[in-house]
Amino acid sequence: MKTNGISEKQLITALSSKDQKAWKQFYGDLSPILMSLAMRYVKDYDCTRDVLQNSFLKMFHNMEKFSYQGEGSLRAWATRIVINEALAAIKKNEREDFFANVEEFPDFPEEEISVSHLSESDIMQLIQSLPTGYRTVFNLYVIEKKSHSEIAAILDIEENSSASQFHRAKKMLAQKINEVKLQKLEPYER
Amino acid sequence: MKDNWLDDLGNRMKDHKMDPPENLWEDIHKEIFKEEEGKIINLNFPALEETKNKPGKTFSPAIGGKFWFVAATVLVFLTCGAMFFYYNSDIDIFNNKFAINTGNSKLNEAGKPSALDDYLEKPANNDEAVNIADGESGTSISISSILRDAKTIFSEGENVILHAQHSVKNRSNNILNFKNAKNNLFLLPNKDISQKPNNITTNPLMNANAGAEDELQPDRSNRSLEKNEEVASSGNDNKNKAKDRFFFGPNSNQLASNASSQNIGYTTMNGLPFTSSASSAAHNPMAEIMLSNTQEEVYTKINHKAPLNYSLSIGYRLNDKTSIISGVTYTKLSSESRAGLRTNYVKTKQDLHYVGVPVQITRQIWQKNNTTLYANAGFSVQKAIAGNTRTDYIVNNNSEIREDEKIKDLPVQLSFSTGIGVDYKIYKNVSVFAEPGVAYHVNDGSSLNTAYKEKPFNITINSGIRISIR
Repeated sequence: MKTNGISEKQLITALSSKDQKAWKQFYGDLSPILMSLAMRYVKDYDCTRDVLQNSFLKMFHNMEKFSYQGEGSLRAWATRIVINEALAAIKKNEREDFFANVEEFPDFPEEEISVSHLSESDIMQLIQSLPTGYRTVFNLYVIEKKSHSEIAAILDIEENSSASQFHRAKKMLAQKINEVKLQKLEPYER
Repeated sequence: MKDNWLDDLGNRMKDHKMDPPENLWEDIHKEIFKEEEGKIINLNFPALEETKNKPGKTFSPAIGGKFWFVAATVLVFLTCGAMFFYYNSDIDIFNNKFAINTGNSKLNEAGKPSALDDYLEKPANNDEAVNIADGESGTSISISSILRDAKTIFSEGENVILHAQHSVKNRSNNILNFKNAKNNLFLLPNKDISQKPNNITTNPLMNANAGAEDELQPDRSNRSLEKNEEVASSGNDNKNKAKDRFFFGPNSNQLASNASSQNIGYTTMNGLPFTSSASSAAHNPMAEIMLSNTQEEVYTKINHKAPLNYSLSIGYRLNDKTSIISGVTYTKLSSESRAGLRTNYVKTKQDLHYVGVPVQITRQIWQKNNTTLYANAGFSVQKAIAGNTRTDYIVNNNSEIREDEKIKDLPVQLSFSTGIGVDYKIYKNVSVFAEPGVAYHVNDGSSLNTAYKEKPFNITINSGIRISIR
């Protein structure tokens, strides 16, 4: 993350010494990505605000402990913090809904599915429409690229539960994508 | 690949950006940099459910040069208190021995010679009164009550010797005159008691100074009493804030000295004659001790250690200047007595444990910055919950017999106190205090002899910590 001629390493030093300017820049650089990240998990706007605020405070208080490990490590660190805060928020608010919805979805031939016609905000909406449990596993597996065993450890569930949740999430999402596709192809139905 | 669409989705969403909420940075900035400005340590991490209001506790230590100034002031205070201790206003404790020729050796219900009954009743006319006259002021003190408390320490045939103790305020060395109209009760000079019993056999008239008037020598024991100081009491605050209504904390009350007394002859801690049946088949240590010591005067020395006191107090502020304090208090009274001489003696150790409730009202006199001056008054009711005595009979420096006994009649001790105090705030809601004052311990009516009984009036210093809450 090189911005304004300052290297990432220099930024980290400034952040550790609690330099106000550095923190403002850091916030400006990372908050849009972290916002999208948090919204995928938490989905509620106010809750996301809290998650972000808590995350930045945590980063502020723990910056001294962070050790630079190459390009992108700062963003990865920030991402981990936000995900942890988001998961904690979910655990607190939505424990009941986590494993809801055992509908069966028809299997669509997956060669047919494509997301190229969808905008990112469309995709965001689709992901947010998934039930909490599916959504969390889906996010961690597909976008954060965690393995099922890692997901099992993070969410404190069984590994095969993670796999089946993902499978169902995929099917559900596939159906919704298909529905959107159909909608987009049939403007007269809108 | 089947999951192409997933990879595609993942890649696109990974770097997706959204506008963060408005004013989020301002809120974050306020939180992290306002804290830094105030240099306050945030002890708690905000929980997720609390967004705007952070619950962290804050404190700012304020110990500086002022603390040492006040500590020096308190030290001066304590030194003044200690100086009062050395200023003696003597109260004389008289140990009086009376000899009475009983004519017959009948004892009345109280275990005393029935010949004494005349003196124990209030006399019909003044001629029969037994009085002690203060040589200087001319006032008379009836000794009926003194005689009532007298203990029989020796009796042989018709002669009985009684030992009585009482205190009389006497600021000079004036001898008090003893008038006895009936002429069968005599006051013995103190040193007579150490003589062998058969010196006093036949007729006390022979040994005591003949005549109606005997001189009563004051027996200056080691005890001394501090002057009772009138404590100037004016209003006093405990704390500035009306907000903090409750406070609590530990404190400890120390008397300025210990107390000691001395009796002639062999007595127990309580001044009673030894009626111990401590003996084994082989020997009677008490008899051995007495026989070994017949060549010299024998004294019983009693020493009461300064009481040990610890309390936990809870206070409530009635208004800005006045507070009421109560709590729970523990006191340990330790006493030792030694009857006899160097190598042959009876040693007694007595421990009493009291638990009680103090009540005190304080009122602020003066207050500036972190220092508060106040006056207080109160009382304390304590009940002895346990007590034991250990008696060692030492013959030729060896402990022949040891008796351990639990004290059965555990008394209730009432005391009144007043004084002034200094309170210094060291943290936001924590202060230390010292209260020099005086206390009076009401006679508990028991036969137990304690520091409080020897010296009912005392200078005390109560010190501790106060923590304000709510």
